[in-house]
Amino acid sequence: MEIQNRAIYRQAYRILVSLYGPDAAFRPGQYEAIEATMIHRRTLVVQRTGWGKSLVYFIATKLMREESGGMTLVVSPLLALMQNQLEAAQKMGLSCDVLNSTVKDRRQDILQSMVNNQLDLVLVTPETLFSQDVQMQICKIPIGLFVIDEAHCISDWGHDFRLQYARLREIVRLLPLHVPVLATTATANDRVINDLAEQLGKDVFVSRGSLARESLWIQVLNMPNKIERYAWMLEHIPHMPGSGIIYCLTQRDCDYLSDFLNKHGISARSYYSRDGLEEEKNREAEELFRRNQIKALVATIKLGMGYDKGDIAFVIHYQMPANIVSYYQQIGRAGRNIERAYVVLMHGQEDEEIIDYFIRTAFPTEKETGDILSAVTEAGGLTLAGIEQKVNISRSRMDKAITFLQNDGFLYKEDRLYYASPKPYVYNRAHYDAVTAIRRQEMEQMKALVRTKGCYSQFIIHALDDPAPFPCGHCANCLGRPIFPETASFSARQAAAAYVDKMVLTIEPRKRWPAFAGHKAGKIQYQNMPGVCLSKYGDPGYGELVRQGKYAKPARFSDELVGKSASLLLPLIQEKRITHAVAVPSLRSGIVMDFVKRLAARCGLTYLEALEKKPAEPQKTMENSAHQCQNAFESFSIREGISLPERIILVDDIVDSRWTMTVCGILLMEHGCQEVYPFALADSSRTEV
Amino acid sequence: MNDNSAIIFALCSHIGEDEQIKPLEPREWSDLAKKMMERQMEPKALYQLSDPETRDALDMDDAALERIGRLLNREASLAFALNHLQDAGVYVVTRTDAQYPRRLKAALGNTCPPLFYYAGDLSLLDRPAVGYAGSRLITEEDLTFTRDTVAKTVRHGFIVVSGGAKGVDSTAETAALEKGSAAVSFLSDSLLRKIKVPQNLKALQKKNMLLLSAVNPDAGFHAGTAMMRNRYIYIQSQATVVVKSDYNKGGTWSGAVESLKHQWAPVLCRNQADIPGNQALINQGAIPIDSQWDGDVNQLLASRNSTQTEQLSMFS
Repeated sequence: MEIQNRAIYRQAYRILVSLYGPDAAFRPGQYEAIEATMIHRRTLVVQRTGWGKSLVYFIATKLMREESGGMTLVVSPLLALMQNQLEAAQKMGLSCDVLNSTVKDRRQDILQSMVNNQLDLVLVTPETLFSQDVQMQICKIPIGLFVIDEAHCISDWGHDFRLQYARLREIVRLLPLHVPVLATTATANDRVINDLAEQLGKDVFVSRGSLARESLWIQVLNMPNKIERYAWMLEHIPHMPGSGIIYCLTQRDCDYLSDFLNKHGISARSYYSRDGLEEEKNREAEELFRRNQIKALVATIKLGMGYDKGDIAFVIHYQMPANIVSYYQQIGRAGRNIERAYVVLMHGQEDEEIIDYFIRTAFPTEKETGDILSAVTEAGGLTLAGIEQKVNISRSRMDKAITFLQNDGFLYKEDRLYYASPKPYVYNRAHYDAVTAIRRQEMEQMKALVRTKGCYSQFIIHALDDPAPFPCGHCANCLGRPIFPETASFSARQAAAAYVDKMVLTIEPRKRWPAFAGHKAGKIQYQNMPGVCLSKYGDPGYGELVRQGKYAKPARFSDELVGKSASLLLPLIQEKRITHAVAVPSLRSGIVMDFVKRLAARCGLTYLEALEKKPAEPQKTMENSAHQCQNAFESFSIREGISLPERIILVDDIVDSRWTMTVCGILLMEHGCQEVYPFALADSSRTEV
Repeated sequence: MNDNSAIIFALCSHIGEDEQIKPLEPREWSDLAKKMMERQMEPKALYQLSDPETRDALDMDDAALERIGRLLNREASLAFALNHLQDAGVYVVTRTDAQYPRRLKAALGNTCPPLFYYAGDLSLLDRPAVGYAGSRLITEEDLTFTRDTVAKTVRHGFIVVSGGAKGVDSTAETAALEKGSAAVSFLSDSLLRKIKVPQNLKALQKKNMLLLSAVNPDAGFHAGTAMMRNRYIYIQSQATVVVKSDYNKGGTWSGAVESLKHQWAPVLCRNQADIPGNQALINQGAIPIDSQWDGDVNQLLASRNSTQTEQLSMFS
């Protein structure tokens, strides 16, 4: 141990002993980090989970408060983790509290105690820290030590990009140099560490230890398709101890996989970015998982940083993650307080395509950011709905572009309005290109990991620039044999194949209008019934058949598609007593009409030409709700003098935004139809995490 | 932010002011700064307030020490306020920064504001400028005179400096921007509101504008601060044009009289017989101009100086 300042050491040791008894000793690196913080240095701690990072700032806080310094503010991303830390800090005799979404009713009281300097330490989520009520008070709060947990997020080279963390990076830059800042992370390679050190200022003290996690038993499986992967899980998850996490790249994959597992006796819940009321599903899933009442949580990277459950017994990757930093983080959730946890990585060709899609669409285009910025500048401030009306960009692309514009200081938000900032606008192409190039390299590194013949654990921590990586001795490569068998039984494969064959997508009815063309946002009076969609456009199987049909010369959907659609729809037709089929009309091609006629004949429905198409822009060039909705209204009308039956199946080839289906449904219902059931051959909406 | 700037900001910013937190007024900060300078202490020394030697050297009572301690304690949390402003493109420049308006510091010494909030390009402060001032009650004819005169001074390479208020100020600014020149405004209120006005915003984005405010960026109008900022306009200008002044009252009058007294900048006053305020200023030494003037400020001042020298030599 290196002791520069005996006085600080004596104090710190006294506190340690008072807590853990006369035999207590600091772990390697802990005291050095405390001392650096106490002499007002910027400190960066890169140590694996479980090393004892919180002890560093607990003791530093205690010492600073004894010298009547300001309070410690700990910015930490995860609620679950906060509760544990709060209890630990209280055990040390620190007066502390948390500021996050769970203490809404006490928030003003907590803030007042902070202003009055009555609390020693407060844990806060970045979202709460930057919320308006906290920002109103924060300038009155005496802060003596600033702690940033999961600090890799403030690096531009990190992968968990969050706007609030980007703002935190600015805060650190703006802090007077003598305000101590302690940044901690368990995952960062050299590039991220160098970037962090630069963000923190001159003369940064870096504490760095081994990243090896000895409880993890790693195995890699090359599995080309969905059926193989489903079958493997069905066969082997029941033999795994305890409960665990399955990571997927997209939301859709989470939903399918958890449905498949549930239908075959393995209890599972999905977890991904959900808004509003849907978020309740995440809380419920997390709660069930926490109490080990389900076998698996099927999640995207949304189940993110710092998720802390000590007894996670396995982590399976349904697809290959985009890079080793995220991979290390995700598998790192397993085996924290148990001796052994299983880690299984599945990979195949299609994973690479998905990752490549994420890499290609990670940054907004120059046109997207430029269009948004000039619309906002011209208008002197716009709401999100206002931007959507002025700029033809999809909502998710728009959200992304706005996040980047805010992060780079070109756009800011006050109440509900966005304003352009006076900062001269430049599109940061060089930086985006550099980051994109690095992400591709990282994907290559991930591909090298699945191919390696050496120790997986060693490969991973070496990739993270661990100073002394060593072989774990118990991964599949070290053992020289698979931990779990690499294949599944015939019956498991049969079950998986049958499930995959029956997969259909639902077409949820649109319930609310966006604000468009002078109309206000509001509830849709005539809503469609829930509909079905046969495939994901272009996916192997029916999705591919749909694509082939569209591009055939002449264009025609195959009899196989008609047959499959009929078998899918017949139970619904019988149950709901549907009598007619209506096609979404087109001026450019008769392919849908031809298909619907054949489908109607096969299902015993009457084919009805109820709708007419007017010349308009192709709907697929409309990028967001306001534009899609307005364009759909300009595109369709009801055939004059037609009398409509009570129940109709409304058929289109491709569904994306659902506004065409919604508007056609409204036209039918306004003219006497009572229930409209949408059906589409394929869904072309974008992949989301 | 360097430590010295951070200290000035923590001590003097009115952000988050309340019963507990009472920022130092410019005069109070000047006195403290002077005291520290005499003892060869840097502002950074205030970090050692707990050290008895520092306390002795500063020779302050407990209440004053307590007040300074409280102000400095919020230093870290003020980073959030700075960040909030920075998001909107508003920054802070303090007296210890090299980019602080040089002419103000030279002319006002210790009484110059400890800090400015600003948006836009500070290098516009290095360009020669003509100031424009006028009372709030103005006619279309006054505005035409303003526009025409700005067009001429712009042609001679002068940007416009004004107070960014309605009337003469904003007319002069708009005229300068339309002619492809630039504008600097010393605002007395509402910086955060003014950067949202599309015309200003576009000029700021093109680096043709600089807005400065010595008061909180969200402060409302206050007559006292409006008077104070008039002097910044004169000091920043090579000469300031008074389009129309009330007689013996109002900001335009007192600003011009103050500048004549301290010789901050030559006052060019529109020579209009039916405006008593303007006539009185010309009698007190303002240089008369009219719509025939070609806008060549340097030549006007040079010829004026030589006339004065001639007159002096005649009397000596």
